[in-house]
Amino acid sequence: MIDITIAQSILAVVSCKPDRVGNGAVPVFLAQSIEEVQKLGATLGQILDGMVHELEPETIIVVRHS
Amino acid sequence: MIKGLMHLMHLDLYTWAVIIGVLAGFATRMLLLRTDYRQYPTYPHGHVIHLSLGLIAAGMGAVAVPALLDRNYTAITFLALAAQQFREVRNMERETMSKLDHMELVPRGASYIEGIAMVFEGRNYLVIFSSFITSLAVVIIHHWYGGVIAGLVMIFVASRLRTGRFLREIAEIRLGTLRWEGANLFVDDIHLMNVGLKKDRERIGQHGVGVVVQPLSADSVITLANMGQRQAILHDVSATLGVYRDTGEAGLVPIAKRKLEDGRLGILVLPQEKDEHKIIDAVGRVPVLESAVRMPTETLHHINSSDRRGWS
Repeated sequence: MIDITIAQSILAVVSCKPDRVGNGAVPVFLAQSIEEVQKLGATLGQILDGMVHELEPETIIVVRHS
Repeated sequence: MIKGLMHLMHLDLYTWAVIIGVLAGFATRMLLLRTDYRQYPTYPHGHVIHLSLGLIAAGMGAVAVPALLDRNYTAITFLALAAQQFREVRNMERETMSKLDHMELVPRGASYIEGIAMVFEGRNYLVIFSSFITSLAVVIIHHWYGGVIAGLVMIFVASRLRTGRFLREIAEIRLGTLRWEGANLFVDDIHLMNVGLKKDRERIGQHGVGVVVQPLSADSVITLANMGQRQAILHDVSATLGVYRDTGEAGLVPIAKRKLEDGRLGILVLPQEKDEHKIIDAVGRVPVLESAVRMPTETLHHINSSDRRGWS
């Protein structure tokens, strides 16, 4: 089995400030509130086995470090 | 029975040399086989592998003396062959451990694995050396008890050579205070990481313990900077006290970061058992990895002394 892992790059962005995130190559998830940002971040972090970092309270990113 | 014993007492010198040599070598290996939770492997089959190889090594060392004294100089090539074999075993050990490392929640890291493999190989050479000297002593003193005395001395020497240094000998270890600045986690004044999820922050606050490792000399600053050494600390603490994490919980990660100004190490550990005394003890008993040791002060000393002699 070939095991390919994407690591050390941003896997997803979650934000409730649509004007702060552009259209890049990374999936962006828009949320309604900071609470929802946290909820989406937790789910994405678990699915992607990635670490969730906070850029600002309204925007978080999911990164896989290894 | 008595007849058998009498017969045994009349064995020739070389046979005694081999017997006592093998026994001393094997005893050395038994003594060096100190298994604890940090070492691989800790299970019965691991013992069998190590002891069998130790017995073979002991045999080689013991037989070499009579063979050489009989002017059978090809015997030395067998020692070379043994060295080759033990190196092969080291490769095997390294490969196995590297594969197993992927399954660990907190991996050992390549440096630690290399260190263990190196010790494994080195101990076999110690066994060869010990049985060689013992067997030589029997031949020189012309009596089996000469070998017993030499054997005991060698076992003592090997037990002294066995122990490497521990982290507590090169650094001062104390508890630190975990604190948050927004999403950033600090232990005392050392920045550890950015944690995005509130849930993770709460859990780290609940289960995490901060440790500060302060190097005691300029040399230990460099040793603590080594990534392999840091990984070894995290692994050992997690192996000793359990770890509060799982896959899919990437936010709960034990981490060690360095304060650039003074080389202090800030560590976040997430033990299953939150006993602070045990944590300090576990960190203190992490072996100093051979691959992490650098001695800039020694080098400087050499450079200075060669300057004085005009060798620069």
